[in-house]
Amino acid sequence: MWTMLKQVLYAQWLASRTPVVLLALLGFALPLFAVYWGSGLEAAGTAGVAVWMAGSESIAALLPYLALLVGVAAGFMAWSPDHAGHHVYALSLPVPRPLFVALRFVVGAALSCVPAVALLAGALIAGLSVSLPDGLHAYPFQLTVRFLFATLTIYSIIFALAIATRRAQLLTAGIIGGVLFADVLLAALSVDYSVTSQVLLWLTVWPGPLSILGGSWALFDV
Amino acid sequence: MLLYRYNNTLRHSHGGQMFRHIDPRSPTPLYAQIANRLRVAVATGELAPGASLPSVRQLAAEVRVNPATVVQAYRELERDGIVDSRQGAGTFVRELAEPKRAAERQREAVRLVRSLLAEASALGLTADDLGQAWKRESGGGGR
Amino acid sequence: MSYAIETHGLRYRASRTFEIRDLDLAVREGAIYGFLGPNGAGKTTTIQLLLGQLRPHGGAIAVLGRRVPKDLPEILAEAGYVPERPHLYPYLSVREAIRYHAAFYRSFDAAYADELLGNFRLPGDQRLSRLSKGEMGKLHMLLVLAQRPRLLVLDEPTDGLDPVVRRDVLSALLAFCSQRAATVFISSHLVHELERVCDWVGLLDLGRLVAEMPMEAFKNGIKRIRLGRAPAATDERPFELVSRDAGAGGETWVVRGWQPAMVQWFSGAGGEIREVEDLDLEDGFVELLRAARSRGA
Repeated sequence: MWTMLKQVLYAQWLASRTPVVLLALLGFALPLFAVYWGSGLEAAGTAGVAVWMAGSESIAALLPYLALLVGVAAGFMAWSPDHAGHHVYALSLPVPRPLFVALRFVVGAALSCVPAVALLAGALIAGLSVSLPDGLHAYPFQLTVRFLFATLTIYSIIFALAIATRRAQLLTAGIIGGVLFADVLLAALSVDYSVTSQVLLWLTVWPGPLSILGGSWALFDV
Repeated sequence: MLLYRYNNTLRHSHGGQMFRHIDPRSPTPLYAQIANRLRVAVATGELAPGASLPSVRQLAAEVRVNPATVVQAYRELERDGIVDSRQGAGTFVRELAEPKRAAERQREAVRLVRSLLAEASALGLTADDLGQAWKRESGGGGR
Repeated sequence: MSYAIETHGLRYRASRTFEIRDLDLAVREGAIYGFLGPNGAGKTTTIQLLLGQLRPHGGAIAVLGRRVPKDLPEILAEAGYVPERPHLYPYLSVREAIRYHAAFYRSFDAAYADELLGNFRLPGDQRLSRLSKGEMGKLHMLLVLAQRPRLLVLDEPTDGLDPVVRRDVLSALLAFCSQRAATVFISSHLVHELERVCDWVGLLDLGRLVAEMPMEAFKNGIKRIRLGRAPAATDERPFELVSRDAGAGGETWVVRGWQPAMVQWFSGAGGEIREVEDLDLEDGFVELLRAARSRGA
């Protein structure tokens, strides 16, 4: 069992190491940008701190997008090697299908944690490299945990989509297309209502599944 | 003509060359062709008494035939008293008395002549034609 | 008598025009079974059905005594499969691919894999995407043999390979079979190759099994008879008439189940035989196909 996991992990790493490393670098760099945006925190005074905070937050606001990117990439890459060979190899191995799916899931999840770890490292360094005025604290761990949850949520959704039957995939695409089409229709009829906005609202506000991406993402806070 | 040297690690000296005339198309079953070739080799001394035949695995792989075919060939040779198969050690050529070996050589010669005559008659050649050709070719001593 | 592969009434409709029907395969354990048929006959589809890659629309399949698809993982643990198209991960190196494969098979023999790696002279650190067709073919054979399976299912394993590589691959396969009485189910449209190696043959055409018999019966029993005069028409023949052609010099019959003594029957029935010709496997195959198609049409 462990040999199988080890081999699947190694093979998956070989297949996807370039994107994973690039995303990890991005995760590492963002907190550092959040700190070094603008200059001279100490000399600035209260107004300067506010400017610095705003700048730092705007960089941190990129993090949910990074989480989205990592989740989507990891979700697709989990199945792309098998997909390329029409799953012939995987289906010929003496492993029950559910077990193989579980192996792939665990391996993909593990790889999608790599950018999160890089983020933690960057956030810790960023926090240590700046002397914060009283009242401001750095929250590297909380930020990373939030990032991890967001990544894994997106990853699970994309993973499920990638392994879904053709019918389920078409159904999902159809629903999205239908929503967009409905909006076009409503706009043509001059009805002041947006289906897309409503759907996004349901998804992104708690308890919607994508709510984890919303809210305020900040490394530094009171 | 370039003769490709089949380089494999089975390192067996006989197989490739000895059985190059094995013809799956011939009406003679493959096992009989293999057995006959070995019979002749023993009769002419190509395979000395006490020499070991290649293992079933080696021969099947070298000649590229079903292992069951090789087993059948060896069994026939054993039944006819040409070889001895010893458990664990392999298959070995028996000491054959000269009369028996001469008989085998004779059999092979008859087989060759028979097929020659059949082919000649199908082509419309007479015994005279054959006789003249024989004199010419065998007198020259070519091979 | 135990069977490595058995199907009853197997049915699969691939499209409106192509269907596999009434397929009753019986592959004895220990046999080297050649699954022959022209391109498009349905050989690959049948193999995919046997190994659970496709779900049949009817009929039953038993491999190594177990039901497909119920006990598929147990079956696959003892079956080696070489599919028609490359299916391994192209970014792995040869050694990595071997290690990956080994992780899934309890019976995998790493020492044997190493030995074959040397025999086949495969570049251990080369990526699969950079291997030549011949090297890939050898790697496939290496992987399935090192599994030490009870059953080998090979879909056109030597297609597109040069003669040298074909020999190497077949030799390794036969060496393995000598030691372990494995069953080999090998599909091919290259009849010549299978002639010397297979002891059973199954002929597939347009989705139906046209013939299934021991190789000797297939080879020796089929003859082409050139007649000077056809015998009196009668339904009672001691042989099976596969096809009958009228030509300028007389009729040509292709028969199955021929024995030399049947010449007497011919003269007794008022016929005259000019020549009895042996058909090699390829010709016999073509004749059987022709007869099956004209029967089925």
